[in-house]
This record gives sequence, structure tokens and C-alpha cells, in this order.
Amino acid sequence: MLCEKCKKNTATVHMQQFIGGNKTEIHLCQSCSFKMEMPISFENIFQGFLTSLQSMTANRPTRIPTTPCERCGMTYEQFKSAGKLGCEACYHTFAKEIEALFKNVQGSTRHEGKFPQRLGADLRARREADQLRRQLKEAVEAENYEDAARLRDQIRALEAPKELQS
Amino acid sequence: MSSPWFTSEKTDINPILSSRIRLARNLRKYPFQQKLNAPNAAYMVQEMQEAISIFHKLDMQNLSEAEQKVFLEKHIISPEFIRGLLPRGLLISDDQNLSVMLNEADHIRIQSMQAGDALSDALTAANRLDDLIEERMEYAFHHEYGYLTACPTNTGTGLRASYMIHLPFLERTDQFKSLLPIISKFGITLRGIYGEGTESMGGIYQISNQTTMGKTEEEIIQVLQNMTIKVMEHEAQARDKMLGTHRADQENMVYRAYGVLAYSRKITAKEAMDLLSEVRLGYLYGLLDKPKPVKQIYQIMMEIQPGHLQRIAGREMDELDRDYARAEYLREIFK
Repeated sequence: MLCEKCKKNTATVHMQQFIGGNKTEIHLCQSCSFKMEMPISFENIFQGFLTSLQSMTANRPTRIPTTPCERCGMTYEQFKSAGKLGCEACYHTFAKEIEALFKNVQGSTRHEGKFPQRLGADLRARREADQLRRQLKEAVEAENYEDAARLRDQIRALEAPKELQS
Repeated sequence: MSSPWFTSEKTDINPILSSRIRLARNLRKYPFQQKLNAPNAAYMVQEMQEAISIFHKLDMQNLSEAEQKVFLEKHIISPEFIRGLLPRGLLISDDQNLSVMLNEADHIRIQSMQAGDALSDALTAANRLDDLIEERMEYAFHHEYGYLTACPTNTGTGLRASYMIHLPFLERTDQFKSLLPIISKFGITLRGIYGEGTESMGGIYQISNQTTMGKTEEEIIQVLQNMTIKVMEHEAQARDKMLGTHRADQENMVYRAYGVLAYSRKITAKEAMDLLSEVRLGYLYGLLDKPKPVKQIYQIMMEIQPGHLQRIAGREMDELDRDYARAEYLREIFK
């Protein structure tokens, strides 16, 4: 096997990189491996993923989003080549593709960190309810009905209109 | 007024030179950079400059090439920011530890720097500034995805936490190829001193998180800290081995480096960085019995870069001129 970088010497160094459960392999000669600061840069992986997404969707042409973003006019093709979105609404327009990308590149599709203060209270309640719902599902599956009833009441309380809570 | 991070003694007490937090944010009312036109970009910059009035305001278009380079060499701005075509602005605190790039890859890139190992302090400062901006402007934010960024690799927290770290013994013993695949499993990456794709100089690397979703800011920092401790343990092992079996050779390298820095008449940035790396480890591990310069080694590493040299000289210089000026500057420090 030839070195993937210089394409001259025999590849003797074989490296694997794991991101979000995805494995990428790279095969290099000794001298190229010394020269590299890191096996593969993150951007390269990201671009590689977009290419693989392209070849995946190429087999199923109906799945490629054909309508551009309503707000900024960004097409899926443009996003794919630049690797950058055009506006907030693009996240909605290309939601399916972006979520697939999140799963592969980020290993998650969910933000767990900070919230803007002005949105904070409402969103925190919504997120807490989501979490309780997951626990409720587990409790029901485990036939743990006592916990399930308690969780159901908690979810109701969280989702009740504000004036009823007080 | 506190002093800039790079003048602090804390940059010279262990392998970690500095801690940095970057938060990527976008404003709700403007399209992202790919679809932003120049008039709106200029308006956005102006609006932010007015909103955050406590900082110094700079327009990139009004800075000379040398001035831009100085900011780049201090890691206050990125190469991408210099190359940008839209109107761009820079907000910067008195001590230069906090800054905001306007219209880099995102509308807003908050950056917070601290000397030594102080990521949590850097995050606290970045969060305070983030909250201040958020009181005045509305961010693009999604309840599931978090802060929305131009590139989906930053979505979520928009956080890039990094340490600037000196790893001369790992470099010398060529350990990175076995180390990198391991740390990347934890979503951590290591790269050269001036960011993406650049090679290392003087054994200095940036270690940072790659993923921005699925974890809180504190958890991301925790993982980075844990992995950095592992990397430093490897560095210490390599150091102990080299000093145990080749101490005389290591001392020789350190003293020769000192000699060249103190007496050379012409020196490239690359060579000077490598020699300063030797001298830094010489002081750190007691191999060099010479008075320590008043300036921190990392500050010297910054000031021998082309932009800084030209600023000190007060004129544009070609490469050859700079090599002479650099040697002169270093002789002054190490004489």
C-alpha cells in the first residue's frame, strides 16, 4: 500500500481516528507521519463526511433537498461545497441533513450547555420535561408504575400554564 | 488595569503557557456571513461597537498589514479574519485578555485569554461578556441545537477551549503519532501554534476540544483538562527518560541554544523559536544556570515574530532585515 500523502513511499504507519463512533483510517509512510502534526485535521474529516453524504444521496436523488432556504436563498449544493450555512433558517430548511451531520461529526444532536437568559426559563422547563418524558418511558417499560405516575404528574406540572402553577 | 496574559509569570511555570476560550455566536436579525452583504456587515459591526462601548474599537480595514500581524501573533485574531472580504471589526479590552472578532466565520467570536492553567477563569470572563452582549442583542439560538453557527462543527455551545502547551520532549522523542489517535477518541485535538493546519514551532502546541454538542461547557472543559493532564504525564515521562539517560546531551543543547540567542547576528524565526524552546525547558527543569530574562519566554517568542519586529523597528522590513533585527533584539535580552 502506498502512502496516502506523498503517494511515493510504502505506507508503514496506520492510524485510526474516532469521532462520534465513526472510524477513519489513514495510511502513511514513516517520513510523512513524522511531518504531520496530527493524523487528519477536523476540517478534512468534515469535508470527507460531506463527500460521503453526497455519494450516499447520489444513489437516492429524491432525497437531496432541492428547494433553497426561503430566508437567505442558500441551496444544499452551496452548503455542501462551502461547509457553511447561510442563516438561522437554513437549520430548518436542511434539518434532516444537518441532524445526520451532527450525529456523525458531533456524536450528538442536542445542546446541553448554556441558554440565553432571555429564553432561559421557558426553555429550561421544556428541556426538563423532555428529560422526564424519557424517564417516564423507561419506567413504563420496566413496569414501574409508581414512578411512572409520579413522573407523569411532574411533567403535567411543568407544562401547565404559568398562572395555574402559582 | 490588569496586565496582558502574556506578560504574566504564570506563562513560564509549567508546560501550559496559556488558556483560551472562544465562543461563536450569531445575531438573529442578520444572515450568516456566507449570505451577508457588505452594507449589512458594516452596519452589524457598527451596531456591536456601539452596544459594547467599554472596549476599544478597531476596524480591520483601517489597520496596516503590520498591525494586523501583531494581533495575529498574539492570537487575538485569526488568519481567516485577516483574509476576510466583508467589513470586520475588533473589540478589545484594555488588558487585551478579552476580545471580540466581528464578522470572522461567525458574526461574533468572543475570545478570552488567561496566563497559565486557568480555563475556568477564562470561561467565566467569556460568559460575562457573552451575557452582556445578550442583554443588548438577540442571538440565533435553537432549543434543541443551541447556539447556531455558520459551520455545523461549532453548533451547540459554540465553545472552543484550548491550552497553549509546550511539549519539547514529546516532540523530540516523536511521541505524537501514538498519542494523537488516543486523545482524538475523546474529541480532543492537538495542533501547531498558529491554528489549523499550521506546523508547530518551538515545541508549542494547541490542545482543544473538537465537538461542541451533547456536553455542557463545564463538561467540555473537564474532558480537555483530563486529557491535557494525560499529555503532560507523557511529556514528563519523556523528559525524565531523556534527562535520566542523556542529561549531559540535554544540558549541552540548552547552553548552545543560549549561546546562539545571546551572540548571533542573524537568525530566522523558526530557529529562534526552537532555541527559545530549549532555553525555556532549561529554566523550567534547572538545566540552565543563567539569570532569567525580565520578559517571559513566551512573550519573547511572540515579539520575535515578523509583525512585532516591524512594530518595534517602526518600519516595514524584508525577511533578511528581520533576521538581523531579530538577532539584535535577542542579544539585548540574553546579554
